[in-house]
Amino acid sequence: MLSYGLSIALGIIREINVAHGALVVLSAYLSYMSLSLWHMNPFLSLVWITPAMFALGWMLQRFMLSKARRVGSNDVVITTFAISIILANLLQIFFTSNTKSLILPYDLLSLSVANIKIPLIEVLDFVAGVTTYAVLIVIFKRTMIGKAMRALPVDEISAQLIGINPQTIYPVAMGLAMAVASVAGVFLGSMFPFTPDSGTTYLLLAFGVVVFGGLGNLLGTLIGGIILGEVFVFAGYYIGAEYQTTITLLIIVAVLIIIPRGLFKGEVF
Amino acid sequence: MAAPNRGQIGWIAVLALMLTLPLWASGSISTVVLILIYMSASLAWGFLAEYGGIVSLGQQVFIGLGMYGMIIFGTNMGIPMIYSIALSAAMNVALALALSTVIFKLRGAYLAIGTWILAEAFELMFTYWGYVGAATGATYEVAYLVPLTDVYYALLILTAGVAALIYYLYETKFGLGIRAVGSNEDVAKERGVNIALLKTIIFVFSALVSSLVGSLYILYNAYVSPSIAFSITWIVTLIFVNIIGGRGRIIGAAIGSIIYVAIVYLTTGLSEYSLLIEGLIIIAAWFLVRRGVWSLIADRISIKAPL
Repeated sequence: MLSYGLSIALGIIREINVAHGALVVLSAYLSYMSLSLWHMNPFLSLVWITPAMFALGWMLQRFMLSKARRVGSNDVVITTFAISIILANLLQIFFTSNTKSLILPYDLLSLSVANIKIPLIEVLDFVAGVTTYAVLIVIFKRTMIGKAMRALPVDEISAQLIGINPQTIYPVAMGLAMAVASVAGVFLGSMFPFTPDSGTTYLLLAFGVVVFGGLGNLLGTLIGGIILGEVFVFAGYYIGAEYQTTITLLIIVAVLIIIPRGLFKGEVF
Repeated sequence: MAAPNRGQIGWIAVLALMLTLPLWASGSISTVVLILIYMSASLAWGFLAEYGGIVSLGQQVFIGLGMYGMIIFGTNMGIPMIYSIALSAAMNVALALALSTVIFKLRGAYLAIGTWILAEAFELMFTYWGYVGAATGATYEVAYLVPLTDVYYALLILTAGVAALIYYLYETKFGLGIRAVGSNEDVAKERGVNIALLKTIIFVFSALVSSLVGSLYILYNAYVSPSIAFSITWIVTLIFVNIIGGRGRIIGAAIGSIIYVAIVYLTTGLSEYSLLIEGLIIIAAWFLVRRGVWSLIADRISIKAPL
């Protein structure tokens, strides 16, 4: 069960857009930058990366995507796609296309629980995953803004009637998604080597998780994340890393055919 | 069309110029071939996006398979060129039919992501498939024997055919049906449009065109590798052309392709920045003129969609 950590980090990625993968990679690179420039522990670097990504997500939604949303969903796809290729190209210019990885000081440490050795990073990842999940649940269930975020997708017009302003809520939701993406980026980066083009792989995983778990179901995504993380790691281990993506994709396709609503009956998207 | 006669004369003049192009501008054929490749592929993509409401980021799957079909059937099995092109197209049509059962369960961003990942998976698959040369790619030798003018005429026929089809479909019942799907799927469904069927037809059609574009591209380039065939650059190109030209518009696609090829030539020394430059232009163009630069000009001189 080595991949639990990865799975949960993935499971939290819920709000996805086409540029999501590229933004997750961006966080990994930002963390790499603070590691190589200031020798900052990658997890510590989240202290500034998470707010930065929140701000970036907020701005993206506020100044661009909210405009695109009004025109049509196809415009959202096109603009976010353009953003993702710009980001991938920028990362390539600044960091070259060589594979990078986040090296942690306690990389080799591991805990033994009942004779099974678990690398510390997996444990940390697991803890971070569950914590983020818990924080999200609190935000969604307990705060006004969280409730507003849940209300909007259900019925935008009624939500507006009771005083919820989509113009203020959507940017916050996007910022939140990006903040979570930054956590995911740093954890994925500390477990797997990455390149500027890794975004597509992250996108595949995030997409699969959403398909598995059913859209808009936090618990579903958490469990979908665990299952898909297992599939991804085991496919890479037993069949070979070169077929990892293809196999994962095939399984997602199979799920789409058999249970289009996902394991937890989210809305059909 | 304000003045249909003038319009018709214009079309005949363009066609005559294009048909005689090898006689008076043989040096530029290679450039025009590129423009036609991008134009026909963009028309297929724009048709899918604007009229089918399907923004696919995986159209290069069909383009790439159109290229690889020539390697599989032509180079490896020794099947003559024309039949190889037809077999590649048939393979793509079959794939599109199979895919349509899955991907139409998705909408909007999810559909886009799904198709993008699909293309990525195909690139990976072909990178490890020794039969078609794995990562090093393969050469279609027959392409060296095909004169460039032949490739040019084939592309001209393809592009003109696609353009004519889009033009004449536009006002028919079928055309109205697909435009309805593109603008609002739910309303179209209520009005009794058979959405699943229409979407499948559009999807298969655009796969077919993309496949032919791919097969003709390999006659022009002779060489194919997974990173050429399934490159993300294809989709960037198609979006670029459609954003500049207005989605699914015929003259727009021509103008967009010309501008695209011009930019590629202008930035040859900066190829590592090409995606950045193109991405920025796409965003800028989208911000300035949502419906495409061409649409803005076309409105002024009263040329209506789909031209």
